[in-house]
Amino acid sequence: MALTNPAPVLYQNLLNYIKGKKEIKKTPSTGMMGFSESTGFKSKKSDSELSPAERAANYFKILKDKREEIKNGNNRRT
Amino acid sequence: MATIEEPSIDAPIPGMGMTHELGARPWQNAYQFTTIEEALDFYIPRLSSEEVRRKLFDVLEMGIPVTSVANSMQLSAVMEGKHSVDVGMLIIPILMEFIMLMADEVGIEYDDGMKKDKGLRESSIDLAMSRLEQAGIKGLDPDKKDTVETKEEEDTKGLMARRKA
Repeated sequence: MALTNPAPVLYQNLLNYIKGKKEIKKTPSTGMMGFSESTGFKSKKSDSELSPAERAANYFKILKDKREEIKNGNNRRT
Repeated sequence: MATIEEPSIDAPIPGMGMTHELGARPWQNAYQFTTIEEALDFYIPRLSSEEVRRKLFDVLEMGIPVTSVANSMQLSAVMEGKHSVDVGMLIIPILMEFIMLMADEVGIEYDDGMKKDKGLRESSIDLAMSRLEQAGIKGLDPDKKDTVETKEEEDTKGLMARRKA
């Protein structure tokens, strides 16, 4: 069947991407040969270096968190 | 000497007279917004304005899914030459989330459009029935399940036929 509205698929994909990102946790590097946290090799990507899809995911996550806050606030009140 | 008429490559393609020249359509020109941020700077203030908010909430209350609203918005912007289809695809989930955020703030019940309709449609059943009839299977009645006739195996005769026990 032809895809007339890609919105549900796109939304679900971005949701899965964010969930997948949360699950990946950095394993602590221990031992003599392990990198220490203070090494200068660690570089954090700035927003401008991220791909458009990653930037979109970041904006999406901000809005989603905000919505969750509102939902939880409403639930507590009722 | 007979000459073979060669096809003219420069001839207009069928329907060419009914089209605009290249660049006349908004989507054939350079897009107004090339990044997600620029596109969102266009959408978010518009969506946040009181007039659009009211209209949007009316649409959501009518039962129109958020997915359809977001898709229509970005599609019309693409047709107006505001941004590319790629940018449109990237901002759809953000627009959806923003619309749902606004609706949640006000407390409007809406359909997010994410639920798949798994129920069988009447038209699908009718289509399946007509195909079965075309295939020559008769005697099918959707209300009666026992009416399906099964053909018994014909008796095979000859030297190589399997013996019946």
